[in-house]
Amino acid sequence: MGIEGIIRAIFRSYYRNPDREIEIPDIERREIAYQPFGKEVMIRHLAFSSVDEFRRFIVKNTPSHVYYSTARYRDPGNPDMERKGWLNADIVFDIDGDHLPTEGCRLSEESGAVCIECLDDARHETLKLVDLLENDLGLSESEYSITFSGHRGFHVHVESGPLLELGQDERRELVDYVRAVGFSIERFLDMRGRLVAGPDMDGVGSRIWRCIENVLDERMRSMVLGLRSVRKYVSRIRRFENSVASCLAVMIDEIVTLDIKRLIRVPNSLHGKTGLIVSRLSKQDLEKDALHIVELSVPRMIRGKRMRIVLRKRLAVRNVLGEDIDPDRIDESQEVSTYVGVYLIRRGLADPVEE
Amino acid sequence: MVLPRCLIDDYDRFTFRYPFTREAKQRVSNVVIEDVLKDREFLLRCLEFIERTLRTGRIELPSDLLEDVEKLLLTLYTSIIIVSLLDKRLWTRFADILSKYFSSNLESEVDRECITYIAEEFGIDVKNVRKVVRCEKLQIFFDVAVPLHIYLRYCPRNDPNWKLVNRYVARGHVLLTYRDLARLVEEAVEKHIVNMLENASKNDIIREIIVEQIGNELKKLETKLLPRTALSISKLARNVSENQIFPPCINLILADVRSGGNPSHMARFTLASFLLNYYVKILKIPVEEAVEKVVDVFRSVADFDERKTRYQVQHIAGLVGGRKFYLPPSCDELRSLGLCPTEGKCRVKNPLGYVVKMMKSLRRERTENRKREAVNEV
Ligand code: SF4
Repeated sequence: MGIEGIIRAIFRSYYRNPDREIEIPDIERREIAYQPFGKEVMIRHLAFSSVDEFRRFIVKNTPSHVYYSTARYRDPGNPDMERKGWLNADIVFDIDGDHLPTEGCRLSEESGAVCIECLDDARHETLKLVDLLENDLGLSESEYSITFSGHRGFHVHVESGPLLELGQDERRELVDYVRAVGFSIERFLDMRGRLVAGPDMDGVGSRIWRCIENVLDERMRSMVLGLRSVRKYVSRIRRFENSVASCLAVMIDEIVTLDIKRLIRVPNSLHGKTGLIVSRLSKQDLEKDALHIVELSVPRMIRGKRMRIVLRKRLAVRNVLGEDIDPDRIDESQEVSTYVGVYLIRRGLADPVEE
Repeated sequence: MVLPRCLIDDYDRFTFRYPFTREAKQRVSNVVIEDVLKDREFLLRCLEFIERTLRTGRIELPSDLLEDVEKLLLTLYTSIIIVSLLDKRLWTRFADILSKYFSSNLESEVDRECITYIAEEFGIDVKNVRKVVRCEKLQIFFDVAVPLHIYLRYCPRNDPNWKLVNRYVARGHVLLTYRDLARLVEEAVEKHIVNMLENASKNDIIREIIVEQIGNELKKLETKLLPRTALSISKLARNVSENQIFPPCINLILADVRSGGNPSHMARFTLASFLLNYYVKILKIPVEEAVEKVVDVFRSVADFDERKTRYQVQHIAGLVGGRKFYLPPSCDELRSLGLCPTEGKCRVKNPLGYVVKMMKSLRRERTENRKREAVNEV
C-alpha cells in the first residue's frame, strides 16, 4: 500500500472510531460539503437529518476534508444558493497564522510548514479574542466554542443568541470593532476631557487601559491615566492612537466573519492537508500552550509512532508542530514522529521512505 | 411597562409630538381611510404639504394643523400613502425628514422615561446603565444600555461617531446617553416609515382611489421634484463594446491579462480599480457583483489565486480594510509608471475620464443619426 493508501486508512479508521465525537449543532439546517481522497473536487449541497446519519456517511465515504455551512437554511440541500432559504448564520472568527505579522509566522509561511511559535502566536491572539467576547460582548464560555483549525490557527464560533441574525453590514461593524478599525481615542474622553477607562472597568474600558499601559511612555501614561484632563494633549495622544489601536485589535480574517454563507471545517473531523484533528477545545486547553493543542490533535492511532521521511526542500523552520527536525537534510532520510511525517507529506514538503 | 408621565399628563401633546407611535395611530383608528382618500380637497392639501416638506427638508405645519392633532395625524399618514406612489428615490428623503421631526421632539423631552418608553415601542430594548455595569464612573457618564445587536440594527452608517469601535461596549451592550438614544430612535422611526411606505405601495385599492382623485397632480409633482436624467450613460454603455470606449492603457493591460500574461502589480491595480469604477459608477452594477466580475477577468493571469484576488479586489472596492473605494491612478501617474502607451495624448486626466468622453461623443453621434433618420423618413 502506498502512502496515500496508508493515510486514507488512518482517516477511515479515525472516522469509524473517532477520538472525539463529531458534532454539528442544528445539522438538519446546514449544508455539508466534502472533498474525497485523491480528488481536487468539492462535493457540495449535501444535507443530513441527523448527526448519526452524517457520521455513517463519513465512515462510508472517508472524506479528506469535510465542511459545513455556518449558515442555517430552510432547504440546505438545494444546489441553487438563491433557493436555499437563508435563515441565519453563526458568527465565526478565524485567526490564522498566515495573517499574523510575527517572526514565527513569517518563517512558517515561507517554509510552508508551521512551527510551534506561530501556532502559539495564533493561540495568544485567540485568547485576546476570547477576552473581548467575554468582556465586551458579554458571552459566557458556554455561548462560544473554540476549534483548532487543524493547521495554523483557530476558529471561534458563536452558535446561538441574537447575534446570529446580524446581516452583512452589521457584521462589518462587528469586524471593525474586533480589528479596532477607525478607533479614535478622543471618543473615550468624558466632558471634562478625562479618559473613560480603568483597570477594573467593565467592557472595553479595561482593555483600553491595559493597552495604554503597554504602549505609552512613562510621562504620557501618567498623564493619560491620571486624573487630569487630556483634551489639551489630544494632538500628542493622536500619535499613539495607532499603537493603542493595534494593541486593541484582534487579527481575525475579516472575510470569514463577513461571509454569511461560508463553509467551515467540521469540528473533530480530520484536516486532509495536515492529518490533524480539527479539535474542539475548551478555554482551559487554549490557556495551556500550543504543544498541548497539537498533542490533543494527533489521532490516537498514530500517537507515539515514528516513521522515516526525506525532505523535498530545505525548510525555513526547524521546529515543525512542536518537534525539532533537521530542516537542511534533504538528501538523506530522517526519522520523525508519524504525525509530523504525515503532515510534511500532505503539505508536499516530504516523501515517505519505504522500509 | 408603566406609562410615562409625558403620555399620562397630556395625551394630545404626546400624539402631536410622536405621530408614528401606537398611541397616535389609535387616536385616528375610527377613521375609514378610504373615505379620507376620496376627499380631493384634502388630498390636494396633502400634496402641498409633501411638496413643501421635500423642498425645504423640514416639516412646517400650517396653523390649522397646529391646533388639530387628528388632522395633523391624518395629513401625515395620508401623505405617506401618497408618497408611496411616487418614485422610490423620494421615499427615503421623506422618511428621513419625518423621522427628524420625531427625534427632535424626543431630544428635547425632559421626561426621560418618555424616551425609554418610545424607544421600546420601536423595538429598542433599553436598560438602565446601572443594571449592566458596576463601575460608578460609567454610571455617571452614561444613562442607558442597549443590546449590541439592536444597536447594530439601528446605528447610523457612515458616521465615525457611531462606529461601534468608538462606542463604549460592555457585557453585550452599548452604553449610551439619552441624547444618543433619541438619535437611535430616529433611525428606527425612519425604518418604520419606510415600512409604512412599502406596505402602502402594495395596496392596489388605495392606489386606484388616489390616482382617480389626483393622478395628474401626482405626476406633475413627481417631475417637479425629481432631477431630470438625460439619456443615461449607464444605459448607453451597456450596448457598446468595451474595447471601443476603454482607453488604450486599459485595453493593453486587458489584452495582457486575457492572454495569460503576468502583468505588474501596478498594472493589475490599475485594471482592477478602473473596472470597479466603471462597473459601479458608470454601469451602476452593485459593488459585490462588480467585485465578482473583476475577479473573473483575472482568472486568466498566470498566477491566479482566487482567494487572494478576491481579497485584493474587495480591498480596492473598499469592502474590506481601509474602507476606501480607490480611483484608478491618474494619467500622469500611469505615464511615469510606463503604463500609458499614448504619452498622454487622450487629453484626459484619468482613464475613467476617457470612458465618459467616449460615451458623450457616442451619445451625440446617436442623437444626430436619429435626427438624420427622422429627416430621411419625412
Ligand atoms: S492618456 Fe490616460 S487614458 Fe490615455 S492611454 Fe494614457 S493613461 Fe490611458
